[in-house]
Amino acid sequence: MNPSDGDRRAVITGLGTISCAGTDVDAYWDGLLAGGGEPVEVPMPHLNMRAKKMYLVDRAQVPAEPSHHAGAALGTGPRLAVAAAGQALADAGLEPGACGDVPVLLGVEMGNMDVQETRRSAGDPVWTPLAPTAAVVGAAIGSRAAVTSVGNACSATGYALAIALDMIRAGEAAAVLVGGAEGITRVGLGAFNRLGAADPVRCRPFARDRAGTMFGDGSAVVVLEAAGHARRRGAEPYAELAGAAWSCDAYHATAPDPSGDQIVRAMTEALADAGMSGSDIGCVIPHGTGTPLNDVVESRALHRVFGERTRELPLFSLKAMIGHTTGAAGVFACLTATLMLRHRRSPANVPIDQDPECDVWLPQDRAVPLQEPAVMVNTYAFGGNNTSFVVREFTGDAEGAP
Amino acid sequence: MSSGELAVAGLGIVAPGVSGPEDALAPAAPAPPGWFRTEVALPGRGYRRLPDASKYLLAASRLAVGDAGGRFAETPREHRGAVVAINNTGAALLEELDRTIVDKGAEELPPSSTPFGAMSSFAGRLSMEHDITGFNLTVNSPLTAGLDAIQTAVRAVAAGRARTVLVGAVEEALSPSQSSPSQSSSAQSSSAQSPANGLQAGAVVLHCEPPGEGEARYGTCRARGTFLDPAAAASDAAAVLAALVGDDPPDRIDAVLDDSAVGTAAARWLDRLTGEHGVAVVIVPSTAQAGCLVPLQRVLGLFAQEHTAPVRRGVLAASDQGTVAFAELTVAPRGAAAKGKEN
Repeated sequence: MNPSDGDRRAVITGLGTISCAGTDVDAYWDGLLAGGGEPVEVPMPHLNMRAKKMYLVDRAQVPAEPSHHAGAALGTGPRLAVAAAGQALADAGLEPGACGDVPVLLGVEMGNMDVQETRRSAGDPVWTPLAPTAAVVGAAIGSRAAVTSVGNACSATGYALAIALDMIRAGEAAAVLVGGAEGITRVGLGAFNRLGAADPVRCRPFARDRAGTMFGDGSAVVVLEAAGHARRRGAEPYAELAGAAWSCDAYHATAPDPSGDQIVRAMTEALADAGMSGSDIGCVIPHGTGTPLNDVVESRALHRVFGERTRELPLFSLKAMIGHTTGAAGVFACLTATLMLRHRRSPANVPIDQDPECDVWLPQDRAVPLQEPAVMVNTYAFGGNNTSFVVREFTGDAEGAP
Repeated sequence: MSSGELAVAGLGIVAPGVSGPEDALAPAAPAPPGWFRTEVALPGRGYRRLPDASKYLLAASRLAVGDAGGRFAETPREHRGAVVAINNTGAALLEELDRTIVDKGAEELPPSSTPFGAMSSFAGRLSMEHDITGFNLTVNSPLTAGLDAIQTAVRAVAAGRARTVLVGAVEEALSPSQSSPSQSSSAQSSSAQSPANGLQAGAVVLHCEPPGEGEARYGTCRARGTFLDPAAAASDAAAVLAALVGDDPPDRIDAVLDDSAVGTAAARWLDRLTGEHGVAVVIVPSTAQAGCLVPLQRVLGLFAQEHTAPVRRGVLAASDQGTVAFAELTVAPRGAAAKGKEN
């Protein structure tokens, strides 16, 4: 692959996913149209806490392989990632044996934690690297390029996608495999219980009775590729990752800055990076976790960015359907935005009794057509680590190329 | 602007047995009890209840920012960034939290340390300490994350996401049960209780700027990565590592390697590099549990050495998982020797 010339817009040419909503891309979209998954009791011993449900991949669908990498036992996260990566490469028409120069960028925080916790419960503790997932995927696809793991908690894959975008634009790579994967983590569940941020019922972002978030496991992976490279090999892009921006609240260890100034800046700069305005956006996939303050702050920030149009701008509350997939949340949203653009509509949201303080439009009775062919995604994390990015229809017209 | 490298204007290190950057190349020392004193390293309020690793990082960042002479504060807050590498930083804490859940229930988790169940929280306080609103990014590839942090910072600055970046790595020792050889699922060296074997503690921070704008007081650096599949390490090493290091290697390469298939293959290739190019290779023994501190510590230590003329140095790190990274440094002339030459 020669990344050094041609159209360096970053297009999405391959998708792969496995989650409670579906174990391939078509099943996932059908699953979202059907209202997503349902939370279940987490199959982990010693779950001594009040809220103990997650949105989980059907355990029978979790791949058994690879069971080990470099001698280390692997949990569900790395195995789900390998499965989703294989789907994405096949979808893009890239053979695993031809991926030697494809970098791997995965957002993974607690990737292998379930191995350690399960063994600890069994009285047979083991140390493993916490984040081997990117290396496991690198080995699975035969990459000889850079393999990087980003660990920015719930915004990890927002950052990973932006890094990949920068790599494509700079000519550093012609195609990058970008994704995220998380499994079950007892300590993560327990910590959110202790912080009063775990909803025992379901994930209910923007609902009047929301009581925190609820985690989900799974993996989503996309192939991000230079448009010129995709064109030369005859690949048909789904969409373009048109712009991305980062910011940091510098405010509190866990709580968002109530002013929302930095998340407004991330959204505004992502639009500017894409050369777009708020009126060009047809839907927003918010970070929307179900934690009380986050949803209010994000709702108000959306008003500052989109103004009066906010009440007519559909939001798709993805976490209500697949749970909060933490490190993988950003790439799940990217994949979902891509499918929305492909199908020209946003699925109906899970019905909620909406909090009036969250004055945003969550269409609940039907799927709505996208009025504009672009979707904004927000991802936020502990420490006020924010990313926003824009996925838009790819026209093939090179005028927008940076 | 994009030059593919960053200038290093400040250095900060906090590690047992290390008094400053000039000691950073010394063999790692075990961490004696009380080696880090919060009231000395972080005078002021609000630090006592932080996990030690978070304190190490804050202390090293203060040293680096101070060493750069206040240049960080001169950068607008939205143009300040941080990239922090972690591996085992939260491992002992996670075990402690999990054992509390198992034995007593989640209600008994300590409120002060529970937020650090999210691994990026260790770097989170850095933003508040230095008013960083550009970005605060955590990277966590096994062993190589510290060098990945350099590459990530270079790329972010080139893309206009920040102008000044703190590049750091922080580790905390594994618990005794985690660092026992019988608890590791992967390759071990025989030196089970050496600091390289999961007992690393401390932090290093480099204050970095674009070379055109900044004061390259210590020199400039860049980094890149590759992947060497552990299952094919012996056969693939030459091609993969030659492409990584390039055909004009630096005069000296410090290589952080364990005795895994990847580390062994890398050591053999470096032997050949010595023979063919005369490169001085310094092997820094590591293990599968080592964490990401030492590679960035070598970078810092090499920058801290004094020379009369610019010298080229390299740091290579290869994990048993297959991640491999290489940092290239151009160390600026500095110190009494350089002044003597000028005179």
